[in-house]
Amino acid sequence: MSIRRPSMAERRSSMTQEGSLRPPVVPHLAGLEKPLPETVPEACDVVIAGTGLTESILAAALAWQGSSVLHIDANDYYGDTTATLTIDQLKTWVERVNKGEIKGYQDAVLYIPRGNEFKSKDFGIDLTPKVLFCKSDLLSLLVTARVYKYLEFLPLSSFHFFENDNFEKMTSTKQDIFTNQTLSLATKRSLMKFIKFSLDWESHPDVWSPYKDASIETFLQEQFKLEKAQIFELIFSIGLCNNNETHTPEALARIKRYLISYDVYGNFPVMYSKYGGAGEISQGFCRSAAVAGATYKLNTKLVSFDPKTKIAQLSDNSCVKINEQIIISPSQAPTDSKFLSKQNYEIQRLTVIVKKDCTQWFHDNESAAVVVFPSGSLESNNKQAVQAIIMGEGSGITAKGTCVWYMSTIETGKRGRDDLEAALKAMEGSILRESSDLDTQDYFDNANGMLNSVKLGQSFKDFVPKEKIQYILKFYYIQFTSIPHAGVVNPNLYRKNSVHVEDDVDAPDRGVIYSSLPSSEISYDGIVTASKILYEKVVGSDDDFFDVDFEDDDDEGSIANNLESAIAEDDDDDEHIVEPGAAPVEFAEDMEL
Amino acid sequence: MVSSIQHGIKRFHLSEEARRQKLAKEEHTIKNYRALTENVLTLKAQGVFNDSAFKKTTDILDVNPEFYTVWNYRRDIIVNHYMQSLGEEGLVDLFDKELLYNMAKFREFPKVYWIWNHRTWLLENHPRVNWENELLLVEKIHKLDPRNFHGWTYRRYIISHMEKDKDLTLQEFEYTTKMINANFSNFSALHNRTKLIPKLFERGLLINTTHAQFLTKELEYLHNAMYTDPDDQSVFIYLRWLLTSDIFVQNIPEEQYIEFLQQELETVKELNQLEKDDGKENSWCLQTVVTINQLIQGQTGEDKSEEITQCLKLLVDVDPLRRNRYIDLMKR
Repeated sequence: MSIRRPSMAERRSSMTQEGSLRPPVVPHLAGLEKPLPETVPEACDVVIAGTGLTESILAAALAWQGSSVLHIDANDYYGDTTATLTIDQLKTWVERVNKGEIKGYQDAVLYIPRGNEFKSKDFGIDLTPKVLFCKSDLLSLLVTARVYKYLEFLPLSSFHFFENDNFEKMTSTKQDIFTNQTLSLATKRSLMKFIKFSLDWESHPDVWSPYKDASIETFLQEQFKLEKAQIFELIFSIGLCNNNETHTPEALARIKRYLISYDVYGNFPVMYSKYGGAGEISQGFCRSAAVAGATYKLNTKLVSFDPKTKIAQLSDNSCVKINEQIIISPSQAPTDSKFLSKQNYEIQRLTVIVKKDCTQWFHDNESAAVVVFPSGSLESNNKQAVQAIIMGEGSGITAKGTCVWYMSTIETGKRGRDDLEAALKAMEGSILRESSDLDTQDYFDNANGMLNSVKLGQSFKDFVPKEKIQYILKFYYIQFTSIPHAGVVNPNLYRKNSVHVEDDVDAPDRGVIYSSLPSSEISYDGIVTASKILYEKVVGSDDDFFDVDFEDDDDEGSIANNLESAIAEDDDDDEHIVEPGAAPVEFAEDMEL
Repeated sequence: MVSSIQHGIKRFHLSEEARRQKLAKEEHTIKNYRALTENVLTLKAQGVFNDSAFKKTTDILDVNPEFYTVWNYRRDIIVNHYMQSLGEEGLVDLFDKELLYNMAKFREFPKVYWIWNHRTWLLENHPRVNWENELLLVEKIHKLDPRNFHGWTYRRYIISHMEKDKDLTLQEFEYTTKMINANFSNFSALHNRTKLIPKLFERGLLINTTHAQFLTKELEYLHNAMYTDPDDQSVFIYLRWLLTSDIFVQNIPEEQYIEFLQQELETVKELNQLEKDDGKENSWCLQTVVTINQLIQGQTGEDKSEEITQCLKLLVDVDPLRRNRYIDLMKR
C-alpha cells in the first residue's frame, strides 16, 4: 500500500502553533486525525459514498443541518475523483482504472523514467486540477462555512495565451490596456468599452440579445469591432471557453466571472489552495462535516442497497439502516450497478512533472499560472482549446526545482491525445526558449517610463533549444462526466433511480442517487450548485444550506482587526525581507462576496 | 470595478442588528467623552502642562482625532513641559513615540487634516528626523490608497526637506509615472506631475529634450489614457494643464504651439466621433474642444465662435447638470 500523504493538520504548522494568526475555530477533529472507527453506526439519516469535493460539501452541509451522516470511501485516502495523490497512490490508481475498478475513467497511462532522486511523497498530484475565482460561490462558501481556515490560498495572476507559436501576455485590466504599447488607440478604446459592458452585460440585452444564438466571436467582431488577438484573449484566456463557437450569453458570463474576480483580494483573478487543489478543499469540508458529527470510514464501499428495507450493505460486512437517502459518486458505484447515468462527456487530461522551475511563466512572487491554447493555435490544428494549469514548487505540490503542468481538453478520441501532446510540445519549446540565455530583454522607455517585456517576441520563433526537458512523470487519462462542457449543472442529472423497476430487482443500486463526476471546468464553478441540488434532494429545500451560526463570529472589532492586519503586514520594515513565494491570501469575512 | 468601492478601497456595511449594538455601546463612550472633554479644556484654560494632562489628550484624540484644539494643547504641553524638562535623548525618544502614535492615528483616520498637521510639526521640532523612513511611510500609505491627497501633500513636504542634499525631481517624476501606470484615474499623481515638470526644466534635468519634444511625449502618453477611458475627467484636466501651462506656452515657438493645439483638437474630435458613433457625444471631449478652440482663437485671432457655440449647445444636452454654465458661456 502506498504511503499516506500527511494530513492537512500534520502539514500545516499554523494549525498547531501557539499564537498563530488564524487559530482553528473548531477543535481537532475526530475522524480525520484519530483512527477511524472500527464499526459503522447501525442507522443514520444519510449515507454518502465517495469523498470527492461535491460529496464532501454535501456531507458538511447535511451534518451542520443536523442530519446524521455516514460518509464512506472505497479508497484509503480522501478526495476520490478530486483527490490529491502521491506518486505511489497514482500508480495504484492507474492500475485500478485499467482493471475497470474505478468507473468514469479509462486508458490511464503513467510514465515515470527511472533514476530520479525524488520521493513519492514529494508530490501531490490532483486528479481534477482547478483554480478558484476570487468572486465565486465556492469561495463564499469557504468563508461562510469557515473551511478556509483549514486551508492556505495563494494568488495566481498570470494568464497566458498561446498564439503564433508564442505565449502572449494578457491585457485584461485598465492599467494593462493603458500601458500596452502594441494596441492601437482605437483598440484600447474598444477593449475598455467591452470590459465595462461585460461587467454589467445582463442589464444590456439590447446589445447582446440579437446575438443570443450567435458565437461570442461574431458578437465581439460586429458589436465591439475587436480584432482577432483581443477576441481570442477574451474568449480563451479570460473566458476560459473551450472554443470560439461558445454562445454569446454563456461566454459573457464566463468573461464577467474573471473580471469581477479581479481586485477582490488583490491584483489577481484566481487563487488555488496550497498543497493540492480540490483534494485539499474536499478534506477541508470532510473535517468540517466530522466536526458537525459526521462519521467517516475509508476503505469501505457500498455493496448493495435495498430501497424497501432501506438497508445498505457495506463492504466491511456491516449493514446500515438509512432513514433518508443514499448518495453515491459514480466512481464508487457498486459492482453490477444498473442505474448509473450516461457519462456522455469526455475530458482528456495530461499531467507532467518537469525538472524545471518554470518561474518565467509566473508573476513575481507567485508559483502558478494558467496557459491556454486557443482553437487552431497548435500544430495538431486543435478544434478545442487546451487549458493548462502550471504549478511550481511554491504551490506545495511538487519538489524543489520542479513544476507540474496540468493540461486538459474536451476533444475526444485520438485527436484529444494529439492535441494534448502538441500543447506539451509547445510548452516545452517555450520554456526552453525562455530559460535560455536569450532571456528577457526588458525594455524601458525612459521618456514615459513604460515597462514592457518583450521576452516572447517573434524573433525567437526559430530558436533551437540546446537542452531537453527532463520529465519526472507523465500521466495521461480519459475521464467521463454527465455534466455538459461549459454548461450549467442541471437538477435532472441527479434523479433518483426508480425503486420499482421489476426487471432489475437484483440491481445493487436501486433507489440510490448518483452524484456526478467532475466537469471539464478548470474552475470550481458548478460544484456548489451540484452539492445544493443533492442537498435539496435530501432535505427538501436548500434554504438552510450552510445556514450555520458559528460561535467564533466576532462582530465588533473584526473590521478594525482586518484593517489593522491589512496595514500591519509590513510594519517595521527598515530592512526588507524578500520572502520566497507570495504570501497566502488573507480572507476578510466581512467583505461582501 | 466593484460598485461599493471608493478609490478602490473597500467599505464595510453593518447590518441593522450590528448597527443597533454599536449604538448601545457608543452611548457609554459618549458620556465618558463629554466628561473628559470638559476636564481637558479646563486644564488647557488653566495653562496646566504636565504628564497627566498629556495622557488625557491622548484619550480624547483616540476617540476624536478631529478635535484640533486638543492637538494644539498637546503641542503646548510638549513645548512647555517636555521640551523644558527632557534632554536631547529624552526628546528624541518622546518625538519618536509621538510619531508612532501619530501614525497609528492616520492609519485609523487617513483623511483627518489635524493628524497630518501634527506630523509635520513633529518633524519640524524633532531633534533628529529620519526622512528616508518618512518617505517609505508615504509609499505604504499610497499602497493602501494611491489617491490619498494627504499622502501626496506629505510626500512633497518630505521631498522638499530631503532635497536639501540632492535633487529628487527626476526620481519623483518617475514615481508619478509608476503610480499613473498603475491607475491613471489618479488626479493627485497627475497634479504632482504638474508640479514637477516645470522643475525638470528649471533645474536642467532633461538632457537633449526640448519643451516641444517633452510635450509631444507627454501628449502621446495621455492619448493612451484618453482612449482607454474617455470618461475619465482627470486625464482631460491634465490635458488642459499641458496645453495652457506657462512652461510650454512660453517656451515653445508660437507657430509650433499653435500646431500642437490644432493637432490636439483633431485627436479629441476623432475620439468624440468614435464616442458619437457608439451612441453618445462625450462631454469631456466637447469641453476640451471648446477650450482648445478658445486657445487657438486667443493665439491667432481666428474666429472659432461657430464651433465653440456648436459644442456648447451639444453640452447643454449631454451634460445637463452644468446646463446654465454652458448657456452663460454661449452668451460671451
